[in-house]
Amino acid sequence: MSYSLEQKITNLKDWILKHKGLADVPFAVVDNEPISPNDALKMLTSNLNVDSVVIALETLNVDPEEQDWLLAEAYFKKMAAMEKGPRVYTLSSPSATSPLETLPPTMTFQEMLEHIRARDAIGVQLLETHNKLLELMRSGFT
Amino acid sequence: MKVLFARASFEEATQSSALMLAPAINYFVGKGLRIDDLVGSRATKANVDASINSERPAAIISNGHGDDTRHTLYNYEVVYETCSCDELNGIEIVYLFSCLNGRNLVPDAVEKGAKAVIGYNQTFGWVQTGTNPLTDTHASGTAEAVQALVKAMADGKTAQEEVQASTDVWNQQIAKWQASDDPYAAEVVKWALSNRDAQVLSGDPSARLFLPAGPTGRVISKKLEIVIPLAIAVLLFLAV
Repeated sequence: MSYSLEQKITNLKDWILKHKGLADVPFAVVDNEPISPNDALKMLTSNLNVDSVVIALETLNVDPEEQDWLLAEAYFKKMAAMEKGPRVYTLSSPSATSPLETLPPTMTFQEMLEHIRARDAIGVQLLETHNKLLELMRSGFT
Repeated sequence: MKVLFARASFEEATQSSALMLAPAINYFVGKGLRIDDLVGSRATKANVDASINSERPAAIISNGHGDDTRHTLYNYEVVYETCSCDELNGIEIVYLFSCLNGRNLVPDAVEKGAKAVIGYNQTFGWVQTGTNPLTDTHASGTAEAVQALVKAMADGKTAQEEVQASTDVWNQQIAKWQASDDPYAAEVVKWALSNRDAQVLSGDPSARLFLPAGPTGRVISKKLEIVIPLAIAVLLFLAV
């Protein structure tokens, strides 16, 4: 089903209203720039890159792996820029005590950003977890 | 009936996760169950083995770090490991509150004789700002989800119901944080989704510590669960 632009804007507004906590999470790439639902709404309502945004909303997953790395990096960059944020804790055995390359017991957003940028084994695990968030967001757009 | 808690608490992550279980311990005590609580530097393999050997616990709730084949406690000492987790033989329910054990160790422990084992097959993570997860804005929901599972155990729920109790709290947290305008809400949602989906239950989903309280409010032990139907059958036989 394909909706009119007005209907897409209405749907996106409704979604943002119900998902304030996710409204600034980058979920799509438009002209090589990661955009969040709030960015998409601004672009649609300002008639900026409307065609590209509509295509992004409709045809996600064209190049999922590369796109997801870009989106994760944009997300962690935004989180790392905030002052004195919380940290993420995990119950993984640290790599020094385990044959697996596991997440350390605590990480700052800056540290997670560096792993995402390096695309190392920890970055891959962070990306897998981040993709759960993107799946949830993408399942809600119509 | 004894329940063994082993709570490694020696660095920030385990200090927090051990605290998450603290209210659940009081809940067990309130239900009249006996608790052996090995916390901090007492959460060692020697002490765990001694507790199991002195009186076999009906349930073990163990909190530390882990990977796919090993569960560790104080100072990353390996306590349970695939191929050598016979210690868990005959335990009704085991809850391994750590990362990744659900991949290999959880099913292996069931093969070695544990009746039901619950764990996580992915990294268990959470967002935390302060030092106390029970009052922390971002971490308290994680504590609630963990406690829901353990408290359901203390209520005599089945292993399947215990996992469901936790899932229900994870779902409430996911809905709550999606609607929040907290700048870290998305990260909280992310880990709640991941932890919920990583829950693994191996073995008998109907395993439980005891039948829930009857009309008199008294709990019925697993032994009575077998004896009562037998007694009824004998009485019926005699009556005929």
